[in-house]
Amino acid sequence: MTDTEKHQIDLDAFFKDAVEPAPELSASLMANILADAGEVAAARQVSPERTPVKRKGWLARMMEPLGGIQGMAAVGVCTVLGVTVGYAGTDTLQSIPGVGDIVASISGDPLDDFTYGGIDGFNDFLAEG
Amino acid sequence: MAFDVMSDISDEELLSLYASGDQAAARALMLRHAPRVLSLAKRLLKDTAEAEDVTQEAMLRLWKIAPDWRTGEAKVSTWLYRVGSNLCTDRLRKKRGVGLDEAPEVADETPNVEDQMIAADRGRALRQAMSRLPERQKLALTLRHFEEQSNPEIAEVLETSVEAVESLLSRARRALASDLSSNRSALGLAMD
Repeated sequence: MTDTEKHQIDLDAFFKDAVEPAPELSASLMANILADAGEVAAARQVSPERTPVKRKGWLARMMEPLGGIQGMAAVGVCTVLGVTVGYAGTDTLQSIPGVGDIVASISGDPLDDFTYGGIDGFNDFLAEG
Repeated sequence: MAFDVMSDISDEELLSLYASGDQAAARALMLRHAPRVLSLAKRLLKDTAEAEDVTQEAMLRLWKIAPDWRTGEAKVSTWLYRVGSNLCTDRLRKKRGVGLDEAPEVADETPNVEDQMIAADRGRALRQAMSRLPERQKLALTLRHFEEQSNPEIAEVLETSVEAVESLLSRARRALASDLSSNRSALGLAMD
């Protein structure tokens, strides 16, 4: 038997003698552990994990003051219409079904037939400039 | 759900049940694992009150991690041993100024019969010799011989390789054997 083997056998006997029964949990320790479990569970219910808020992109943040996507769509339509009128004149618009009547009613000098009821001086001012 | 009904449920399932609000699952987990943590902590710290504090803290950490527990990654028992041993190591390091050898021995309540007294003396001698070992060697020996953990399980607790654990245990046994041999006459102990 080598020294190592002798030590091993001796140590096994020592370990066997040093074995103690597993300790029992005291009532106070059990109460504390379960109280912790209850508190942690309660805290989790009070403040459930927040679902992350989806952040808006830079384009959406830029459009937000102008009414969002709907507002920007309206601005876009008006811009296209304005550019079209500017370049092509009202004649082109009059060929569009439904738009022609509207354009015809507002074409010409809008002040031609305008009077401000009952105030002659004001009407003269408008006529003479 | 009563504890006896839960005895067939795995640790991971119990954790999942607890995370969904089942307090009976917490009780089952406590009864299953807290005594092991307490046993380890008592052996390492030699102080019942401190061992109970460590046990409570280790279980508290288990409650907190329950919803995020990753199934199949670690055994609950191994995880608790790791947390418990780390908490013990922290406390031992704080107490190092006092001196580990001065830590009081756990009271031995062996009946006053000659054979049992010899066994008790050998057990006490072993515990004293173990208290003089480096912390990791002491922890590895405790897990191997008192908590009956396998070398791979000890490696997981110590976050090292199985080979390193084998080396650690080998060095610890040699140091223990040497310590006990040199104190044999002083202790009046038979070595066989």
